[in-house]
Amino acid sequence: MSTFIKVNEIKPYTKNINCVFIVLDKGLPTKKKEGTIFQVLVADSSAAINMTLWDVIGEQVQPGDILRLKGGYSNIYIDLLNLYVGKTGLIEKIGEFTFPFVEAPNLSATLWNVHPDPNNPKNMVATPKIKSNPMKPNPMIQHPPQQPK
Amino acid sequence: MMNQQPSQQPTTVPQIPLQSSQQQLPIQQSSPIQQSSNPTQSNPQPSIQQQQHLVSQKLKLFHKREVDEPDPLELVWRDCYEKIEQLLINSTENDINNSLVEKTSDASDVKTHTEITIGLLYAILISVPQSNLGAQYFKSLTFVSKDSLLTFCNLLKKMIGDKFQKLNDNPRQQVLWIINELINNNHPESESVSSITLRHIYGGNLLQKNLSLGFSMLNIFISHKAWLYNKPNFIPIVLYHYLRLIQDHINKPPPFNPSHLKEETMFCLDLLKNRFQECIVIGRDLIRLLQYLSNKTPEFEQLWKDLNSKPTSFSSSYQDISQSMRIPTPKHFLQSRLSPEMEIQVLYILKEVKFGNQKRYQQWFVTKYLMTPESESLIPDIIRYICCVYHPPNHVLCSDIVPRWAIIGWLLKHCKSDAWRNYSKLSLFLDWLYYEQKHDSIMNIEPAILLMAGSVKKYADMTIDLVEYIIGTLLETYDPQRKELIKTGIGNSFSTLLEKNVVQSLNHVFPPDFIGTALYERIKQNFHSLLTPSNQQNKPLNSSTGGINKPSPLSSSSGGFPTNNTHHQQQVKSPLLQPNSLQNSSGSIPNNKNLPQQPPQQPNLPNNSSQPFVNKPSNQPILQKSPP
Repeated sequence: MSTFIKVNEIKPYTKNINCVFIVLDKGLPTKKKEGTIFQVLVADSSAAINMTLWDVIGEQVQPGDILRLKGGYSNIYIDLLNLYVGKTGLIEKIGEFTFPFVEAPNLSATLWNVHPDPNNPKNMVATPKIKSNPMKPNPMIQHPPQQPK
Repeated sequence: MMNQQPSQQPTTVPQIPLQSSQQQLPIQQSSPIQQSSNPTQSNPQPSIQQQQHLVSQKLKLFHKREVDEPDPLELVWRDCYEKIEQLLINSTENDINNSLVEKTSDASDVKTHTEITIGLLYAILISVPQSNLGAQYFKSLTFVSKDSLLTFCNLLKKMIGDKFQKLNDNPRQQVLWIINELINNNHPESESVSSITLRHIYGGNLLQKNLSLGFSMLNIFISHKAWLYNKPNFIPIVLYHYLRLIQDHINKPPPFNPSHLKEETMFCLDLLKNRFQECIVIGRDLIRLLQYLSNKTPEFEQLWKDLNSKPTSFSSSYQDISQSMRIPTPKHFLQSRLSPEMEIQVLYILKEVKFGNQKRYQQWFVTKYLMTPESESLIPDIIRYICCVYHPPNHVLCSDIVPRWAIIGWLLKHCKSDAWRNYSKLSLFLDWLYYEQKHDSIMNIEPAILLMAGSVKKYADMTIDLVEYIIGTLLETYDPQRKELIKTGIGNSFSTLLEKNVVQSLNHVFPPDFIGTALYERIKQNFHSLLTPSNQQNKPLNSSTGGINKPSPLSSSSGGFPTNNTHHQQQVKSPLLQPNSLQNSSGSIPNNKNLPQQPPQQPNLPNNSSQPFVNKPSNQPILQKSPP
């Protein structure tokens, strides 16, 4: 039985995310070696977050679409929280327009520090950066490989 | 009887998930596939995506792209179909009928009867139009059905209402075929199924698919003229649809076929000439459409002349078109020109969205329906709908939900062409022209006055434009023959709005400082008696309370505009909701003329809505960085 969460419950490195949200905005496509990616801003009544979509799904998704994500995950990419569908996840359009949303807080506006988990160095953990001391994004930050579907 | 409200249509099959509940109950999706546990790497089962793909291949009813979920309604219908699929494919017609009759022999077993009805409906919809199978299944259906196809029609109507636009081409054609069959059989539901389908012919849309739907339906009616002539309630509905659609088809280049326009015109003229009594129940919007067309085609020009010069030739009791102008158009006509989906979206904004948060919804609405120049012809329809069909209850009027006037203001601003903008203004003021308190709803004229009042401070051009339209057009050139009647109607509108405290006084709506003294003088000439004495002496506004933009203490404490007009709907005499009565120590019904000058009210504009009407794409940066 899958449990659905609200967008504001998404934390860094959350796995198996089930969530319903509406697409507020869509960025221009970016060509990558593995395919084309689209960045979208999605939101529900609790918060907004940036999300990465690949190829045909990214092409078809439009602002105003209500999407249902199953088995997605979150990650920190260049200091920012981002939502992914992943290889085993599923994203589907289930409607459009009639969905309440807020634009703030935008979870992808907070900067995060990423470091190995002291208890289990194989895992990465993230802690929020102090806002008054913004650091430059660290280009060395590891990012789990993304595969197109 | 016809049921024009899709939300109220009876749903006989409770197990079918309603589309509207999807968004609120995402967890309760009924698809068996979707409830599967999330696969792990070691799991030999097919992945969610693979399962999904297998299901999708079988679905034929609705258009489905990669991103779309398998339609929940189709999953249920497909299940019912699969239970009888083998029977339908492998048996003779006789065997099919015998077997289905046997299955449904238990009269108390409604479920099986419904399932078999769904299965046959699905089978008809997915069969190829050229084959004989659809007809054969329909025959079986009439054989098996125990309620003279009532369940069948209800299922069909629900599907058409919610999902017609999603149908693949083949099922779409089959729907038309079923309508034809229902009419052939003079089925009691043939009108209601036709009505709900007519709503899917979009106004302001010249795409081939839309044009051909309109023409197919017209052909059905033309070829069943005797049936139509026997449906007095349906005649004005069809007429209203096609008079409206003709607007879109005049002087249109290919792919529009000019012979179609001719047929539509002949069809409408025939109804108007031969079934006039049925047609005039449409009321004032019939005149609005006919007047528009009278300037566009010679046929309607002639009709308009006849209607004006010899009205009794249409009906002995018909003396003048002002008779029609006095009849408020029944809501279902105005509702019918919005597709069900469009209606849901407009209502969502007006019921759920907070004032100041509407911009994205407006943008999405524009992207979907109002992107092309020809789509502007939809705007008068939407304005008529907002004024006359949706009347917000008091709790919405009291809340911070987007008011109707703000959406109308945005729609007017969206009109790029002068012609459609003027016609939109006529739509906004149509109920003013012959307004009578005892026949007309104040809620029909409320948006226009609040739009003028709500715009005057920050967007005086909107208020000025509307006032000029009243004075320069409606009172002068719109209908010179009936000038006095219109002046009385508009005067009645203003005085009712004042009497019910929708606005405190006309001085607040038309402050000379904002609309200019010249225009103010023209208002004074026409509606002298409605202006408060203090203003006629040109007493400076707000002299007692300071800045003009400062909300009055009353309006801010009571929530400003939305609260202020809460009472007029039912004339609730709550002193708390009537600012004027608070000041009226005598306790009598407040009379604006005797009240001391009050500062104009500041509409309850949220701080961040610097331009509530202008639809501007949000320029908030959202994508700071691009992940891999």
